[in-house]
Amino acid sequence: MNRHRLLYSTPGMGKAAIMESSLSRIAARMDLLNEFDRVPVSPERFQSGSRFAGLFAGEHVAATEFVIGAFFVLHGVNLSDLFLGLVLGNLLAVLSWTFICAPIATQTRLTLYWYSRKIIGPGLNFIYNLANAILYCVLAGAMIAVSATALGLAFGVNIPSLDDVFPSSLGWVGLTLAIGTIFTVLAVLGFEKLSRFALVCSPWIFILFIAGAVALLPRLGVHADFGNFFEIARTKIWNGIAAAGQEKFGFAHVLFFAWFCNLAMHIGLSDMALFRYARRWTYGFYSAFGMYCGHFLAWMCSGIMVAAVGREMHPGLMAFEAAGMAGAAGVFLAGWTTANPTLYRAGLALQVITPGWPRWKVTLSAGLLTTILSCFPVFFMKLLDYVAIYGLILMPVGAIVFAEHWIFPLLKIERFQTEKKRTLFNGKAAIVWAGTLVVCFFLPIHLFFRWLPGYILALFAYVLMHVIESKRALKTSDSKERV
Amino acid sequence: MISKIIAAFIAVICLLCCLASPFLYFWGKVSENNFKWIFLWASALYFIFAVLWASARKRDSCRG
Repeated sequence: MNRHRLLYSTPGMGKAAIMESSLSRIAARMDLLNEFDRVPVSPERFQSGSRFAGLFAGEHVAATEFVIGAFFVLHGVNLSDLFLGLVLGNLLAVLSWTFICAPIATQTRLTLYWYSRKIIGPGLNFIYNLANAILYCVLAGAMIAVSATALGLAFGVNIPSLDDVFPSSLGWVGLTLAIGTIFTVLAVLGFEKLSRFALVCSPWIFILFIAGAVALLPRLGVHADFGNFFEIARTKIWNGIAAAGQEKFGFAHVLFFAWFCNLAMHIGLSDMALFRYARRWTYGFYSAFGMYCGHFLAWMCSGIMVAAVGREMHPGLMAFEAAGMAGAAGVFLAGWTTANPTLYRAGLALQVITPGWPRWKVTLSAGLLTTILSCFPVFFMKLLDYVAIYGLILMPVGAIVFAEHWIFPLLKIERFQTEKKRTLFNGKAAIVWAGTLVVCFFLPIHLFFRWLPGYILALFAYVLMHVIESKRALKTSDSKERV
Repeated sequence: MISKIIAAFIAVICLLCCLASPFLYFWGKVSENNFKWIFLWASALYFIFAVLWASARKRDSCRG
């Protein structure tokens, strides 16, 4: 960076000018990396609905599903709250994909990267990418930890307890470091081959969830005719009693969690990258395959499994008790196949700050960061909170893009001013983004519910700032005309 | 082409075996030990044939 600064800066340049020129160069590098996606998708590259159904079903039956469903049991959710919360929460998620993300994607045929660049400016886009990279690394770290619980069984490693923030044993550190290193090396050696292998894995992992739950039903006392299933579910699985030290969750928590679980993807508009290939915006409804297979059925199955192993948060043990060696291998594979694309995405986002580095070096760096993070059980044991924070941080950008795409034309406000003025930063977007996060931080409501008022606030604040500015500009031009 | 169809067919059958085995155990038709063995072998065979199927598909798409 210093070498570049020396090359590009002139003696008369101030600090701000140097910083701006550095940011311009970073932005130019980012553009180069995303060059492939710059042109809107042409009609001959549109994909069929079945591809979308398969993609969603595969992507949302991941390693983290073993943890999330189990956490609902540990947080004392009762059966009716869970069922209704998941049905409605997932429906809201599907509707968010269909009515918010897919229409913008099918109209623009661009990725969020290129579309938000016109709106928030390349400088702010860089910050967005960097935040995304770090958040991806943490998520991949949680997936490595899930895999470690499976391999830990073979080596007799103690799994951290629910309240652990730091690693509780050297064995856990060694195990996560070893798994993280293996995953990273494999991702470096052959990301594409692994991605194809992940496609093969996903239907089997989904079957593993169902098999695991069914196989453990007799242990909970369910009769072969399923006659007492609901009674057992109410009294032994989702019995409404939270585990020691865990907060009690109700209907609203489940509903909001199911809705915001992929907030960055639907309301945050990340999945524009996917839906730009859709023939119609109605393809958003295909997200239901991911939601109701993964975020409904798989979560319920992992809830059954954790109840059957004595409510211990140990995905490896849950699957091993249910399906033996194949079950433990399944948890390991689920962690691996879902950490792999996450590492890739993190690497891609990190590439903007490491110009000239080959792909393998960036993936290796992302992998090392992820591996270190995976040692800390807090990311795995507080996964629900982390998912909420992840969505919350990226959500304001979705609100800003939504406002500019839909609300600006209605109010006759000029769109893409940042692009037209060729500015690096959209100052108003930066204020709205930072301001929304500050307000959300201090909101006196549960973390799960903060994103919704935050989203509405970001939407109104961004529109209001532009309305005030356009009125002021109108007044100035009027007074000039009078003069 | 034929090998692709055979691989796909066996992979799907193995996946169905994986799905059926826990139900057979739940209904008391097989023991827990047998269920776990069936699940393990069906899973292993599924991976072998599904990878073969995916590779054949990849080869076909490369040929255009």
